[in-house]
Amino acid sequence: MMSGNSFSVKKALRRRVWSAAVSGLFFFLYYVLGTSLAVTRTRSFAEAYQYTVEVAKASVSNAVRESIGLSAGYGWIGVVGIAVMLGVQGFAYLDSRRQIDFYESQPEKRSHRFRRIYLEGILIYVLTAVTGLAAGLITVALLRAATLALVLEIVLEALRLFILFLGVYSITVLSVMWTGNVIVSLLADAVLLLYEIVLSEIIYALKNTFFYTFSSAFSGASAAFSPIYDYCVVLSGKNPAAAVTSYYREMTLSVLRQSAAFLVLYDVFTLITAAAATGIAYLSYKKRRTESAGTAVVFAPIRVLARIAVSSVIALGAGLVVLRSFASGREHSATVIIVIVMIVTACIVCSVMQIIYDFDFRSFLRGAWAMTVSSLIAVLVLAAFETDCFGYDRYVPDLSQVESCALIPDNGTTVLGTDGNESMDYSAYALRNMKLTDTQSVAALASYGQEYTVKTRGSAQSSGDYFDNSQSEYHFTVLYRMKSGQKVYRSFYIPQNCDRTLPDKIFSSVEYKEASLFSSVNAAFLQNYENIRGAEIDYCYPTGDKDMNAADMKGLAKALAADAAQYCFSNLVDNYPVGELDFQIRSGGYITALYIYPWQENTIRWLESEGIYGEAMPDAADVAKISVTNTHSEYWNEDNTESSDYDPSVTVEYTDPVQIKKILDHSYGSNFTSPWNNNGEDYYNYNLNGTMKDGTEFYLCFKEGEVPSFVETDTAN
Amino acid sequence: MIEILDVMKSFGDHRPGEKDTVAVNGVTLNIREKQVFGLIGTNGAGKSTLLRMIAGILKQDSGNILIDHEPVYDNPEAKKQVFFISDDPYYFANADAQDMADYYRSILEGFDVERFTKLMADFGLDPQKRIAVYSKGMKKQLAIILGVCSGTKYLLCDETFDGLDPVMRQSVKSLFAGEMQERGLTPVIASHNLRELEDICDHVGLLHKGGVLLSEDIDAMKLGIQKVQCVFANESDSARVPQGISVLTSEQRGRLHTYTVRGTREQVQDYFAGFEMTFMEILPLTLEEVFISETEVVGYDVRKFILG
Repeated sequence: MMSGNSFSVKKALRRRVWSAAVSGLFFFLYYVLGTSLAVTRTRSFAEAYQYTVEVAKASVSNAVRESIGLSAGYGWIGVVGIAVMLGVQGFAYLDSRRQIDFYESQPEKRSHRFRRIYLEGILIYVLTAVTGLAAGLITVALLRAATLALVLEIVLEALRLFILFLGVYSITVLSVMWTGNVIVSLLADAVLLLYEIVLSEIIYALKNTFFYTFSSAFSGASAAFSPIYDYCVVLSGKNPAAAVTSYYREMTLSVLRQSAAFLVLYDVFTLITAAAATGIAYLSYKKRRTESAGTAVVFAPIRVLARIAVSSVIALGAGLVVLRSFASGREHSATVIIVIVMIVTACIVCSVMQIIYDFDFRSFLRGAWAMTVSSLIAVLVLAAFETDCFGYDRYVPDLSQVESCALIPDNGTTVLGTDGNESMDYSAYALRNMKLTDTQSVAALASYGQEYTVKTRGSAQSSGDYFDNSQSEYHFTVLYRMKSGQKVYRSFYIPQNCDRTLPDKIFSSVEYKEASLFSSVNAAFLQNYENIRGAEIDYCYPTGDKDMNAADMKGLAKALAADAAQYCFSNLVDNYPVGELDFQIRSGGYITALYIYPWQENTIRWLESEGIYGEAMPDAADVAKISVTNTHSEYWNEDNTESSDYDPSVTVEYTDPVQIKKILDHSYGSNFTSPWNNNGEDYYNYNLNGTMKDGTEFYLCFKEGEVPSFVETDTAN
Repeated sequence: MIEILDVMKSFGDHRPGEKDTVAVNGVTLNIREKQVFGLIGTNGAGKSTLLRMIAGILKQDSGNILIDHEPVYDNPEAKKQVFFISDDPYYFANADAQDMADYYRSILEGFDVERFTKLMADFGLDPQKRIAVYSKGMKKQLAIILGVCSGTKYLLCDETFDGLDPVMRQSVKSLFAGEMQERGLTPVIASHNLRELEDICDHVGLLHKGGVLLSEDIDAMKLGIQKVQCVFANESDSARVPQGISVLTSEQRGRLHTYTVRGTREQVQDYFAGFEMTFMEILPLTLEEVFISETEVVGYDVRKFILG
């Protein structure tokens, strides 16, 4: 092995001085200039708007984090560009006959040449990135913004960017090996990098469109082997570090650890992708004939596969675009048009790709069989989703393979974590903590709900109607945690008048209660606040607030735990809340709403003893008047010729004490409406606005089906 | 020695039902050391393809190419013996001649820097000037200088003399001759111009449509074929000529007969002495005429492409 072709830092940089310069310039701009500008600007704002010291410090920290930390939004684009540049430039000689003559005639083994060029690209990145990183850390220190957690975060982000680089670089090298022309290499690279993302989004859209039990909130599109997807997950709200930025707090080692733990799996996938792409690229290099220089795609099987894979996915995407213009994807006329659009799209894309392969417009019809195959694939995939031939909506897993379940109802609030830094909503909390072992009951409820959902939604869509019966149903998402590690989600509805045996059994379980914040009986959750001073309780209608100390929190938690025995589905559905407890955490500003029900006697007694309990409903003798407005929303469902300015609502004011009492007996405070209540037509049609004799105003809703007859008569249109 | 044993090479996807282009079709040749081997043929005959396979750039579909008994493809040890000069040489962007010399020095142990400096001066090329501003001819001269100075045993030249003026062509021929004498360089020169190779090559191989039409030492070729011009005393005697000697071509203008016959000068002289002649003369053949005669026999009219 001659020294001229041996691997060395100096030779690597000399041979590829331009790409090293571009990479170096990028990292200087990214780490040094960008950070300096962001911090300087933030300090100017802090001074101009007179931030407090803590807020100013947090803002500067955030500015650094948004420049070069885990929340940095744009640095990855530069890294992708550098990876593509180094990958293409290093192996571009394979596309030039002159350069091939020059390099391949030299006394160097081909495997050695591949290794050398491949490693040179990585070396150039590493040298420039590490230099930039060092300069960036020095800059942060000089700007007096450095903390240990922040420095570690910047280093972690640099490591993630390197992993992203490896993934993109390897895929780029693979695309160069499979093509013989720089432009086609870049196109192939884009296809390889984005294909999985596009495909997963299309599959997600198809599931969301055709599967009634698809849980769009939890079953996101996932492209595990796309380095860009794996990196960008850090920018999603799922990343624990995101809350730190959102709420202007300092990054802590604890949150950083949680972030790293969250991200490591994605990075591992990227490394697997990089290793696989490198291996395939090397094999392709060995197999590749030197005379392939100048051809669009070197290997015939890849040409065929790419043509079919790309055109069928684009055809599916085109079908989805057309689908959006129809109210129901299941109308027959919609299906016919969508199929035609997909076939035409598949043919066009196949033709375009063939033209690119041959660099000749006249070859657009060559290999027409591929158009047939692509069209068929697209149509079959559409048919499979439209008919649900694989039984997605009916699916209930084999319970012997299920480790645990979670049952997540709709609605919830954001809560604060144990150390005061992590925020998550009820669903995230349940996903992490709810481990129901009575999988049989959960599966039975889910099965019933899925069947109900398909039946009700399916018959509506077949007739071209949009189904809307949200007022008398409850929506759940079930999570099955399989023993294999897989997570299966299904979304379903159950009618309000369903058999309550199963939901009562599930809601009554200790596992459900402890993991369901919405249950308002999560004593363990409340005990987390023992060490947090300064929580306030606002008891809505009538208002009562109290500064809570640790003893107070303990007392409340004890009362709630004692009432937990009464907690069940029926008790939630059949009762209206008598109040709502809101926690305001002074340091972080989070609010958690806990509904108080009449059967929570211990809790009510505690609130009374603390002097913050008030009757949910006013005494009729103290009420001066109640105005009832019937909005007549049904008016807008009929064919009417009135202009849009016309208001069909009717308002009547009641001052008669008898009538006021009757209204109060059949209504409840609208300040705290539980989603378990049947918010039907009466809820939406009638607005009740009351005024006490002392001038205080209050707002009510009629209990469903309990509108007094005189109100109906008086407010008729 | 370079041994080319039944080598096949075609270009295409090897798809069933589709015809690939056969560039080299079962070529067998031996290129001995210390001789100038000329590879002649038209465009598309397979000369460049064959040279690239010898240089280890292309891999043959079948057969073997051995350099000093070692297969050449992906074999650095064998490739160290070979320097390939392409018809359109590649140089690093923004490099000057000295940069290229430094590069070759780093990859080839035997690169002679002093000789390089001297030759650059002899050929009037500035080593510090960017190669991008060189003319086409100057780039070829540089390639030749780099090749000669590389110290390799074999120098493969693909249409190298194209683009050189006649004076430069002679200089290069002298250079090759000197290198051959001093260190036993073996040039292999591909060209479509036979006249250009005539005074330098020792051995010539003629390629046509991927196959070898003939491969002979030039001297041996010329020794074995004679051109005879004669006038018979008795015109009817001309019909008897082919009966006793191998006649490659014959031509008649009036009573003047011109024969190209196989045999040594003495053999031909003795044979024609048996006829009553008014006039007879044995003339030397040019290489071109030898080629034409040899290939006409097998049905190829190579005139149109070897005349260049």
